[in-house]
Amino acid sequence: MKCTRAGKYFSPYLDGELGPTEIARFEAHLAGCERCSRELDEIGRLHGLFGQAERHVAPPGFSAEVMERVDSQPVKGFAFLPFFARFVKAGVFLLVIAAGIMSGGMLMNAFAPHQKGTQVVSSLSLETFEAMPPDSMGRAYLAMTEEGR
Amino acid sequence: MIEDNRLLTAFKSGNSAAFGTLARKYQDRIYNLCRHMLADPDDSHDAAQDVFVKAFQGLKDFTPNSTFYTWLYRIAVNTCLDYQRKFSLRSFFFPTGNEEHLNIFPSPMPSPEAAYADRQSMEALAVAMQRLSGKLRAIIILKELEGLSYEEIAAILDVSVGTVKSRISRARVELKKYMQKSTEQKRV
Repeated sequence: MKCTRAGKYFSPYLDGELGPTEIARFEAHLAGCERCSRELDEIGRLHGLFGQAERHVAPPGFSAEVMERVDSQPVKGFAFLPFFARFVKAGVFLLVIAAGIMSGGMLMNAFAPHQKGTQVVSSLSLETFEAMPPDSMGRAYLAMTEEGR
Repeated sequence: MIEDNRLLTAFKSGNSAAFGTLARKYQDRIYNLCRHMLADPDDSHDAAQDVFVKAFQGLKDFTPNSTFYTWLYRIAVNTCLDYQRKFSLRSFFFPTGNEEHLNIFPSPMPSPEAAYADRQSMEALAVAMQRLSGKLRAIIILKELEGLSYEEIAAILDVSVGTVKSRISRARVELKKYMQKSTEQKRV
């Protein structure tokens, strides 16, 4: 085992996370490598310092304070609604969608293309134009323009 | 673990006192984690309280795929990381000179000289811990102070065991480096 590979074994070895085969290989390397042995000792010392760290405990009344806080809050969540309320929400949603579709359909019918086309065609028909009366200004104008030709 | 499941079942059936039992069971572990993550006692207390409130509100989403305590630890780590992000900016603009973290590692006193050397090492370690990133600090606390296995830590942090191994190695290398720098600076 080379030192570059052995370096990956320091932490798992200290933490007891290596299998027997890996331990044997790693220890065989340590037996012949002073640098890795020294490195392992330094990490081991660090590990030992943590063992002396203070273990903090929650202050008195901590869990009582937790329960006061949770009891004063409204319980969130879908799970606490009455069973039927779940379907009421879905029903309202579907009604809104259906109303939207129906009103959209009515608007579409009001401006449907075949009706529009009928209206346009009827607006272009000459039948909509009445003939000019004999005494009208329009008839006089036409007579003048025809004489001019 | 069986007791946790029994308490969870009772809670979901409407017995909110069952949650109180769970809180009392895990309050020391969660508070200890928060103290080592955040150092400041007030922030640690608030964060630990928030952890249990979040757990109470989130229990409806808890699935039996993971154990209750790994789920609780996950909430605790994420809450502490949020606190660190929130308060790192505050402390940048309003430094308090708070040296609470130096009291985290009290030392035994076999002899005055040994006690002094030991305290120096521990202070250097405490300072080095605060220099680690939140993620590396969390993982080293879960391993070194909470004594969890690589697999348990992987479940809490939702990462692979390989990632846990590499982060722990990196955290230890960085701690050693910071402590060596600190020792060299003191000599100068």
